Amino acid sequence: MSLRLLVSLSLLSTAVQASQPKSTADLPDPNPEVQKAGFVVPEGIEISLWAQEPMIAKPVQMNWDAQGRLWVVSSTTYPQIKPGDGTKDQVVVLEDTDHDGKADKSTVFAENLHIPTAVIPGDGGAYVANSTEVLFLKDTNGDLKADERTVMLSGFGTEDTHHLLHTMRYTPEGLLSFLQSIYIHSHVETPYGVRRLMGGGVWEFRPETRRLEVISKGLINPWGYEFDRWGQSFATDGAGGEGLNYIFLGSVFKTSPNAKRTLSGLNPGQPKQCGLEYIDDPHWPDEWQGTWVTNDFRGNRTNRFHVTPNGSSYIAKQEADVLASNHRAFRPIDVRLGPDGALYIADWYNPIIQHGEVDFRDPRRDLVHGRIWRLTAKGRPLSEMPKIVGAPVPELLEMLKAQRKWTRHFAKQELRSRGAEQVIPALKTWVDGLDKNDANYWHNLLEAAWVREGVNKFSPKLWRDLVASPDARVRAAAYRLLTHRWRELPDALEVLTKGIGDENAQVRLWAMGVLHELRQPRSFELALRALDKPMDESLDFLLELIAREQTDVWLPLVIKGDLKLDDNPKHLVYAMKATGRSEGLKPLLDSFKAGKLAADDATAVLTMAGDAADAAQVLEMSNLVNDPAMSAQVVGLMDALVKAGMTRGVKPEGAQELVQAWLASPRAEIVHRATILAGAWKVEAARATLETILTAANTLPPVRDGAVQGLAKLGGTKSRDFFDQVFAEHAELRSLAVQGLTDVGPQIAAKRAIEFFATAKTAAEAAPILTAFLKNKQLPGVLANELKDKTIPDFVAVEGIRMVSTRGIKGPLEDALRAAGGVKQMNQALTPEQMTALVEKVKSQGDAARGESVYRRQQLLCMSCHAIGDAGGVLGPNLVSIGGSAPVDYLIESLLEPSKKIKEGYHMIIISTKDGKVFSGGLVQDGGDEVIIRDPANQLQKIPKAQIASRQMSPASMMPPGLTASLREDEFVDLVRFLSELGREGAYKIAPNRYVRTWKVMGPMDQALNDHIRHVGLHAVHDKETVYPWELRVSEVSGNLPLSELVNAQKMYPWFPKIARFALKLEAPGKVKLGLNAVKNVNVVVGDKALQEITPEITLDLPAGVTPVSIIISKEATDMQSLRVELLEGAAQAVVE
Amino acid sequence: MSAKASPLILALGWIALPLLAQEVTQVSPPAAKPAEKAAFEFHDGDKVVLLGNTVFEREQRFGSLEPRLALALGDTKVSMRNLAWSADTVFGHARSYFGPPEEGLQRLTGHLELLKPSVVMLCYGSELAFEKLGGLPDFLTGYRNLLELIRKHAPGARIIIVSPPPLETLPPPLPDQTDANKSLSSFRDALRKFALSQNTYFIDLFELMGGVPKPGVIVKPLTENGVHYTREGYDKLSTKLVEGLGLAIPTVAPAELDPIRREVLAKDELFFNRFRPQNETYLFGFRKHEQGQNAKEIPMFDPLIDQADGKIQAAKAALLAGKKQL
Repeated sequence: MSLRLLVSLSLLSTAVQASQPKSTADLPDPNPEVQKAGFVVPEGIEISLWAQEPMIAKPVQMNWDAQGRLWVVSSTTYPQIKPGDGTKDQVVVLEDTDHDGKADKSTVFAENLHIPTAVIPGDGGAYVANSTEVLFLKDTNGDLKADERTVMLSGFGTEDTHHLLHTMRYTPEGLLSFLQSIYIHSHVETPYGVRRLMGGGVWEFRPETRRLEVISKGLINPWGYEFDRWGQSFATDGAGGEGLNYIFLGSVFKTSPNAKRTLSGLNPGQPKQCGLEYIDDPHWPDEWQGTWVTNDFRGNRTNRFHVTPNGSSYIAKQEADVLASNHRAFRPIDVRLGPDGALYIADWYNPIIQHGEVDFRDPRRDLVHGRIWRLTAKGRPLSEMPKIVGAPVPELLEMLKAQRKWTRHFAKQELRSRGAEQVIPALKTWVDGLDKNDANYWHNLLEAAWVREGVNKFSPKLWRDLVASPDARVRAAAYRLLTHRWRELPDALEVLTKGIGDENAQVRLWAMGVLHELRQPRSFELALRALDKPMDESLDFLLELIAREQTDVWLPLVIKGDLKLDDNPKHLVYAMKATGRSEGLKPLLDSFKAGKLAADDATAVLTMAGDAADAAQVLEMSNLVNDPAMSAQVVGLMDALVKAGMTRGVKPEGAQELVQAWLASPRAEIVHRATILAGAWKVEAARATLETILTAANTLPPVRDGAVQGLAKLGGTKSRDFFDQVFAEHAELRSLAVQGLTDVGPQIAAKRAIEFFATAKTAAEAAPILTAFLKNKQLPGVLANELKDKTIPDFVAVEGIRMVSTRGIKGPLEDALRAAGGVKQMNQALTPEQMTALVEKVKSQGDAARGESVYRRQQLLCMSCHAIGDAGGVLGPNLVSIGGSAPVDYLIESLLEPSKKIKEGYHMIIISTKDGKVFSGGLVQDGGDEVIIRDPANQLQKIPKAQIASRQMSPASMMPPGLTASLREDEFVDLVRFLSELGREGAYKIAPNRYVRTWKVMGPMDQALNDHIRHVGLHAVHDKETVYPWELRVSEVSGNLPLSELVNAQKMYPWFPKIARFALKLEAPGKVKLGLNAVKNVNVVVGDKALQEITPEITLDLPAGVTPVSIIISKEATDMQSLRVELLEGAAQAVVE
Repeated sequence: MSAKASPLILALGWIALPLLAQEVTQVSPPAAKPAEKAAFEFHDGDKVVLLGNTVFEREQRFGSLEPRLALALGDTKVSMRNLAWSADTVFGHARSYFGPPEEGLQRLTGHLELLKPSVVMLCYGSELAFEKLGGLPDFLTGYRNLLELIRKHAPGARIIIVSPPPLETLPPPLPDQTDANKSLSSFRDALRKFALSQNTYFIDLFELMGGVPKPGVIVKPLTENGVHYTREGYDKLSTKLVEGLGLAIPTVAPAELDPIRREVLAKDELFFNRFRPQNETYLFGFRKHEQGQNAKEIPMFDPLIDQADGKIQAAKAALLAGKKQL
């Protein structure tokens, strides 16, 4: 018995551990029975094999037709055609002719295709995405073989074959949609002009008019797209990791080139997902209806999400997995509800995914297998497939009432194929006969409108009926339809006035979508009225997009005075701020001067002034600084002057008098800014004053910094000699002096820096100087030169090396630091034999739990750059499913030699500006007038495009090499084991539960803070005025926050607690239910109140906005090892303030 | 040997005949007969490159031009490579991938240096049908720069500028292209002047394909969407292009062209995968440090393309030999 147990356990561990084949000898058993045995299906669900090779090989994407046949596109050519190979890829049609739940017929509909990535049947044939083209393949004689090939569209990019045009679906009205991914750049001629889409996005195409438009842009690799019952659509991203993304007209997501602003998905921190289906079929239990199913192909499982409306968008909550597998070649990539209501999952079957990180011709790639799996709900009747093809029109219309997507969808497709002449008269009768008291009346009416749209016949009357619906989902759908049809509604602007003031935020969003299409001054004025109701992220996004992209439409009229936006100054400020243009600044400064603006609007205007003000406006603002009535605004005004002067060199007339007066001001905040302005405005006469300020003993630190900046900006030998003199004479100012010298005398700066390093006691002491030497291209070389044959402390050298490599700085500095500091690094490259031995050790000796604690060590910095799920840094790739996708040897190599292979989207970009500065980091946004990058310190840096001299993609990783050099081998092995388990079935896959994963925990508190809480009460922990020493922490993969990592407040009698805090964000007031893992000796503060009673489940009634929640764990709670809090219910998000 | 003087053609008494019955119902008389100007001279061994946007790119789906040109040239052998790219512009937009259009032109430069063409035939500008003609000065500057680039990187290449063909107004719901054709017509006039100023050969394909269509819907369309040509459309387009070169195509039944056409299609496919390989990002782009080793496969297409050229010539020789025996 015990022996048998041991054997089965070790088998299990082999199966889990051998997740990635190391060689062709190590491939998983392709036997479908073996694969089936590896599935973990929840109670109540059954899985069976529906089709397999040789009926289908390498399925890529699939769609059903009305006759219950499954059209699958298949490529054995992927990832790249071999010279001499023909185009051999196929469209295969699979059928279960005897309805026994297994496909028995496979017909090759088309071949001679070249890595086709989408197929959808329709219009007497099928549409196929075939690399650069969208083909229509027609079956002229009904033998299920394509006889005619028409190129419908061409010019789609092929820069990466797993990004090619893909995921063809029909919209609810029957138009064709398809998507492309991040590396694709498409240029397509249409009868309406050229359409171009750079990067990812969603296309919509109406075949009979040949109109092709872009609906949404961005996302990394969105291979999932589907509509809900009300016509709202969502996308999942195979490389994006934010779960479901709500798609609306004009939406732009991460990675879209030139996007000034982007939206996020609904589930940040999700594993990457592929394929998407909406459950709307009576075969499934009630709690499944309206939920979404998608595949985590890296983690070999299928997920389900529940979506709740939240403002104009949604909140998505992950449900328990639909399916999981420990067979490492199971790659679920598409999912569709079938004719019998069962869920069909396309299994691409491959131990190797990707071709960016694994060689195109890697022998482990599978080219022959492929499966379609079928999931059913045990004990529930299958749905019956209605007869749709050839059915009379009135019958087809009746089918629109079905509580089943399949029936409604194919009935609409069939109606569309019959054409308007046949359909419209019958449709009118059908609509007239609808029962207004039917609970589904409004949905039936919506279906009727979609049928009309499908046959391209808009009815203003039907539309007006729809938009008068009491159901907001129907009104939103009505405005969605109007995005195509506003030209046919003479009073469009009037109805939109109502729409933009609708009580429902999503209705407002779609009304705004129509206004976005109108592109008129008047429509913009209307769109701004959205500001009179509560705004949220999506609304704000779209309004700002309209304001910015249509500036040329409305701004000239505002400037001429023909369009007045200042009835409500908020509207004006919003509009102008979005443009970022100086001509928009004038009316704003007028309002500012007149004191018409609210405080946050005033701040916005001043920020904009810094970016856009010209010399005259700078003078105007300078005069305001001196206006006693403006006393409270002085700091904002002067910050704007500093920004305008430092970044754009804008200076007012009479600069010298202004600066000198300010330098004599009794207010430190004025003197501070004046010192910088003296440099920016080149006020040579102020030099002596700056020098005095810099060296005076009683100067405040920020003012002193300002004086350094000012003197550096004044420049010249005078500044250089002065800084050098300060270095010699003022020991306490040496660091500042060197920093100043880097701008005016690099050689001397380097000499002095090395002198300074020699006496430094800590790395932190040297850090500001090291940073100063990395601010442009020349300085690192200067320092490297100077370091030759010198000696500096090793901790300074290590700090420098770390900075150099995280900033992607090439050249001799790294070696120079290493030599001067005598730093030894672990031998990084492993021989193949060493690699094999290490991989083996990970397998046999690695311990994931120990590995997680290694991972969490602060000094390894893993968590500061990487997230697992939604918690952790964002600089590096999310590791949530790394174990499911990356072979162990790849993980080891990535730790030892980070630059060898870099994940897509995480390349470091290096930007040099015209004034010689260098910025490096991950690209966040590249739109409009500026580029935003996230630098290695996790700070967002905005660089105006006009300032950019050059930009390049660095071949080096942002992850510094040698981070793990401090580890013993066994620790390293544990770490790799932990990483290799991430996302795989077991303890290290992120559970779908909405655990709080990012925390602020209380650091060591001083006596005063302790006393404050003791006197005021626990709720004082949320005081806005009191600054507590909060530190950021993330939970373990399990959701637990280890309490051993928190410190007790030693003096906070009587609790002596550990305190951890998070916040809940709600778009609208509502109830939120929290679950706590322990309640004994635990206190909870929500907002400004400590809760009276702590139970394992706590229901909170919260207002809209962000509410802090602190968990206070008394010293008595000795058996509590960790803290775990879960959001059980409610439209709230856990956030960090 | 230059084609127009081919004694063989004269001896065989081949004459120029419109090859196809497929005609637009109403053809306006050509404003300037191409026959009035000198024919374009091809030389044995000429390497012809097609450059432009969708109308030229999709030619490779039909293989209609190369067989006709080959026959019209008799014993003069030329090879053809299609570098056209959907929705490209004279600025290089469509071939620029991740970068600005200039990178598209850099990519084109590489392709010209690889192919070393002696003849470059360009057809650009159809997008101006949908844009205001205010864009014309920019367009012509771009065209001038493009010609300079070709002359620099394909020294000695003779250049042929082709005007975009007209659009068709097909039955609703397809759009009315009347205004677009008016724009294209004035664009053609400007292009003719430009070609003259650049000393290039000019083919008025707009007029050869019927010019501005008479009002009304076209009965026998040559395009499938008003903009892009069908198989019949390309047969006519190719015939007219060869005519526009001042050459005469011998009378052959379309089916007789098929053996050559098949080889042309095979060659075009190989060449497409050679000059525009998929996975550019990994092979030559910013991720080549990861999978760039696979780029070694791409030049392996070259011998295959040369062989395919040989098969085209063999198929052509077989057809010519058959004709001689008649």
